[in-house]
Amino acid sequence: MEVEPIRTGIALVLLFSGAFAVMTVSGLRFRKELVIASLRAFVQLSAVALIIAWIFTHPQGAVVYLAVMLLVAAYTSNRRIGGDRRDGLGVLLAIFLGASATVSIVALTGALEFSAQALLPFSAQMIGGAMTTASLAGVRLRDDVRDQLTTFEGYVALGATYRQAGREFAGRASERSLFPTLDQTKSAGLVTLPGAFVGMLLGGASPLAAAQVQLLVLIGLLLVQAITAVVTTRLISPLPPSLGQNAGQPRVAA
Amino acid sequence: MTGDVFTLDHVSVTYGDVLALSDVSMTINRLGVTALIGPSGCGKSTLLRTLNRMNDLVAGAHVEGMVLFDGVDVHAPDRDLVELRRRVGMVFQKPNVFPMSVRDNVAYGPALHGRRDGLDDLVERSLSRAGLWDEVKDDLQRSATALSVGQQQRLVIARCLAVEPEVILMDEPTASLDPVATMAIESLTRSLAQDFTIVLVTHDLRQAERISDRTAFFMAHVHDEKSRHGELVEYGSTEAIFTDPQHPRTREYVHGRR
Repeated sequence: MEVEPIRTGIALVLLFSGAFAVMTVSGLRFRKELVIASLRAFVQLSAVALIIAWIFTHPQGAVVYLAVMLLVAAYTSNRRIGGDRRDGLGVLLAIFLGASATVSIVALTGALEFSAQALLPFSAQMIGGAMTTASLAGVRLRDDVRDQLTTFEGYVALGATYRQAGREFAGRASERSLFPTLDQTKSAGLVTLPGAFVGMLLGGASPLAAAQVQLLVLIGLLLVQAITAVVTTRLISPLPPSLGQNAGQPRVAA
Repeated sequence: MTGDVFTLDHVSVTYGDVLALSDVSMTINRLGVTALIGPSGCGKSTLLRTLNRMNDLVAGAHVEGMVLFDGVDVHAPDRDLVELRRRVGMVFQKPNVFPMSVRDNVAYGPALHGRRDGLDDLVERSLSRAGLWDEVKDDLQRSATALSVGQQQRLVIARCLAVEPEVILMDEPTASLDPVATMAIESLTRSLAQDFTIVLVTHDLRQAERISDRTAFFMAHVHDEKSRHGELVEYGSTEAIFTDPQHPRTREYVHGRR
């Protein structure tokens, strides 16, 4: 499929003006957000397009690109969880393990060709999925511990370290964090057409090829997220920062 | 074996900038029941939670002074908290059973401490000692949360007994129970007091009088509307505290409430 910048530009201006006009006429707030969001998307996608175009001709750059993406994902997720530096390392490891396991399988089986064109977007999508799951699982773990602090105290009072006690809450938090992707996978094609599928069709691929790639993405996300959730909930401290962090952890290693 | 299990020397506890408990010095004897009584906000639970360092879970908690358990400083930097909490068990106000089977609740502690053999025997012995075995023996795999509240509290006691502690701290263990379940816990506490040192926080004066050997009376010292802290007013044999209190504030509290 060919795109022409002029026509894209005209369409974008019309789409944006339409949204702005509807919000204005209806008296909706957050028009400023609309402007900022649109501008950010424009700048970010343009920059990413340039970078990825460069990587396609210099494949070794993909490693740097993915490493930066991993770091940003771990930082973003750890900030959402409210973790400290040590928690951040745990989140980084969780995202890395999940994404690398999935990408390895897809690359080694040859399901996607071993090229930056195929593996870079796939890896990026896996890292993004892992980030969402790490945030959900981590936040959930700490919320659960805070809500059931007396139960948590029960484990600690028997001699469990905070991490050992946290492990009793990790399974539930991990399960919950998988719900969005499980639902998305179940409803694929019924409720919405998922992104990779739409993209492939717009790019001129056959529907069968589009479905195959979309399956790799969806089932790949399930593996990424299962690993990331399990590792995250076992590596971060289960106590929210408002509790116990400054009062000395139990001194025996978990 | 007799003597002191805990020695508290000028112990004060602060949460952030707030003084919760001021300058408590007392000893807690081996075996029997030592009751900590007083109105709410007088620092008795705070004191209890310094004995197994559960205050570590509270943001900004800080302890001044010295708490000795068996002659060793509880707050020493190299103190092994896993060992401390195995030897000093705790029963809470709300029965906090774990969301797992009755058996696994009791086996959790011993398994945590590396015990692999004889777990089933230990589970049975602990449940029997807590007076719960006959009620649960037919279905040990049932979820602990399906038990009645009174049974749950006895399960928590069994869970605590299974790690073979020397001391059991009880933080208002009957506060959420009906009178029948309360009586069961009280008679169980009495029988456990022959083999364990029990420290009982209660706001129920009659309960302290019924089941404790020694009683410490705490009261909040009110500075102004915003600040108050708990302090130890009087400590002695339960009989003396209830029949012949020395301090006027103890007299007023003990007699005023009956």
